[in-house]
Amino acid sequence: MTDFQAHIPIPRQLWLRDRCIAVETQFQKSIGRGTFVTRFLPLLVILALAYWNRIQTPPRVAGWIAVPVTAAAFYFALLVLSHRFHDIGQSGANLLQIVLPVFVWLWVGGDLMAKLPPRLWIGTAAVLAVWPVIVILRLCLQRGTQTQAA
Amino acid sequence: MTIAAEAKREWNEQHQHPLGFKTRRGLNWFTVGLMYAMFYMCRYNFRFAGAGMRAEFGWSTGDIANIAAWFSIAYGTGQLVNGLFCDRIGGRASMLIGAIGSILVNVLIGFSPWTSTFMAFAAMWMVNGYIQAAGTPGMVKINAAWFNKEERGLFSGIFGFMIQSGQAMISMLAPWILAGFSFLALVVGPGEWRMLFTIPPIFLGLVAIWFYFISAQSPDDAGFHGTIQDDVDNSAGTTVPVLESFKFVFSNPLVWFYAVAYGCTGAVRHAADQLSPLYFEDVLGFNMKTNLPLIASFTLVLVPIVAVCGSVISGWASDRFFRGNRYPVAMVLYYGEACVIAAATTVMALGIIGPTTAGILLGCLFLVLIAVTANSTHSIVGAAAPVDIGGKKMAGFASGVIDSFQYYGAALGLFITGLLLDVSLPGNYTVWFGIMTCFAFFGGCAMLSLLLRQKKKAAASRAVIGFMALLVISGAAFGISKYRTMKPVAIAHYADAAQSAFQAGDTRDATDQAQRVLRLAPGHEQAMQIVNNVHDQFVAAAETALAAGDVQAAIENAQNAINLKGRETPALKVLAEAKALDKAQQKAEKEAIEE
Repeated sequence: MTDFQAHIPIPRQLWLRDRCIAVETQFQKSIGRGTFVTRFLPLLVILALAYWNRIQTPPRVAGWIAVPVTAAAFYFALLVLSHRFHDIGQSGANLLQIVLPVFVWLWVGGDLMAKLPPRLWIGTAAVLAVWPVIVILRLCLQRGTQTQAA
Repeated sequence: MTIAAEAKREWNEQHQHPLGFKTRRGLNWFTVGLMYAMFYMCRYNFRFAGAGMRAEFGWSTGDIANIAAWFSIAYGTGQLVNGLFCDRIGGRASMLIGAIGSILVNVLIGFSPWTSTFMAFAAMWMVNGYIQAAGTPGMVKINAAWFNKEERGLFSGIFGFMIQSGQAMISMLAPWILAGFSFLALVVGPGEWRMLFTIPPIFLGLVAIWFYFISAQSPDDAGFHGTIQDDVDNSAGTTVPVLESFKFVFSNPLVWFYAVAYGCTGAVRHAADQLSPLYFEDVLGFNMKTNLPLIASFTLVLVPIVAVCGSVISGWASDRFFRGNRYPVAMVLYYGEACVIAAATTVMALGIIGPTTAGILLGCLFLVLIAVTANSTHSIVGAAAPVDIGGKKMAGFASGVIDSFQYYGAALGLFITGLLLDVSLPGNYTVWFGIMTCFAFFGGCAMLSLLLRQKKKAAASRAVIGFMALLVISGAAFGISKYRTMKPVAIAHYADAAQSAFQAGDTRDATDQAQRVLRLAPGHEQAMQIVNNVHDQFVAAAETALAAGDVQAAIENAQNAINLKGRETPALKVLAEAKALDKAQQKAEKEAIEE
């Protein structure tokens, strides 16, 4: 039996493959500094508001509205970051430099705020925020290679 | 160009995947990882049910610990057997069988009245341990097919994250269930521990359905043909007969080097995980139950974060800078770990770690450093190395063999640590650190020996193995003589402490100390007398409370008496009567409210 004969993908798997190709194609583009700022900053504001809403008791906006809006804003933010990284000649995976510290905060931030005095948890948040802020500033300011050539 | 930049360029050139592949792989990995995290929910639920079971069935703390130990043995053995079958039936089928089995066992425990007997429950929980062991080989086998050798380190780092997230999920869900909740028509009262065995399986079931529809055994099954290269010939498919897998893995020396090293990881990791709450209380003077200090909270929050970071970074480094070879990175990590814990042992022996500001900071810092190094080796040796050895075909069994050693290593390490801690004086955890140092150093030697073997220096490799054998013999000789010297001193110390506490009226401390003496010297007259006296006090208090209609006090005192003398106590009868009365009172109250 050959390898090819052993693996004939079923239609569901082919459908999934096509969806993945479609998603990845969306991430392939690149954008310049100006476009990045005009697209990313509003998304950042929406995500910050969503976080603020989440830590309110009770939340100001109901979950059934907040969750889909946050998910959509998060997806578009990833898309925009990835496009901008491509523009400065880097892999889109570099967006992890921004996403990971945020994720760490989402994971432990609540615990820290509940258990530590403000100066300590604000200090921790500041330490976590330093690198993402540097990267975002770079994305806002650094001249691109691809858009410039175009 | 720097070495790092050169390595990155080379790596990028070698890993050009077709469009859509990375996203499909991410989706597959997320699905498999989520499924694995759900396995943890149906396993760590037991931790949270212990207190409720003790109260309902009158089991002692020792009984609960025994069930956990039996689970570990069943799990370790299950890894061996299920790994073998996983290579035959495939990773997807293995994980699905594990999920269905675990759901059934958990639901049976949650609903069956006959699991109230100790043996029935222990047997069911062992079956769960065995079935759960289908998860790791299945997951490793699926991911073996989806990652090139030089990408598996990062995957194994994320594996560490999945473990932590599974534990975190049940840690959040369990208190919520135990606090009581209502959902549509379902109303669950507080303290309903059986719900811990019925709700997590619902999550596992939902994820298993998602897993069935989304996951693919290999990229070829998902429509990406020939994307991943493997050292092993896969032209006849990725499943193999049981005997072939058995022969290949058992006759492969690499498996045994990694298995020995992973046993050492298990010994350090489990000792650090399971004994750190006691270390906080006994050495650093924290009150873990009611008043957790900030530094302890911070350490407990920091440990999983640094564990995940360590896993990811070590996996990534082995991919990028060592062309997917795990042993050089693992060796550095083991020796680094040994140095860190040796420093902790020295500082502890000098009496610097203790309930002072500097002592607490140092004590917590060492715990964090141990977590980084132990979890880093856990990921690259436990998840990446079996895939490298077994390839797509035999990763399941290779993972089963190596992972089972983690549990055997943990059992051995905890047994030795327990013996020596029992004969240590209060607040002295030097032996805890000392034993962890030995295991970490031993793991480093196993990896050094493998490194020399791979570099074709067979004589040097054998010399290291000889040195390791000498280490075991001299360690055993030193440990036994140390134990014999420490034991009489500890017995005298704890017997005196028990007597003083009893005279001062502190019955809890007196019984703790006396029971410790009895573990070291069964039949010790003075200690027996103290335990009997305290037990009689509890029984009398329970009977008095029952006669006065104070059900809660009766239950509490009867439970304390049972904890002291197991099932050979009249307190069992008092407990049963108190519970019957409690039920009758609750029923009467309910009827009164309804009327």
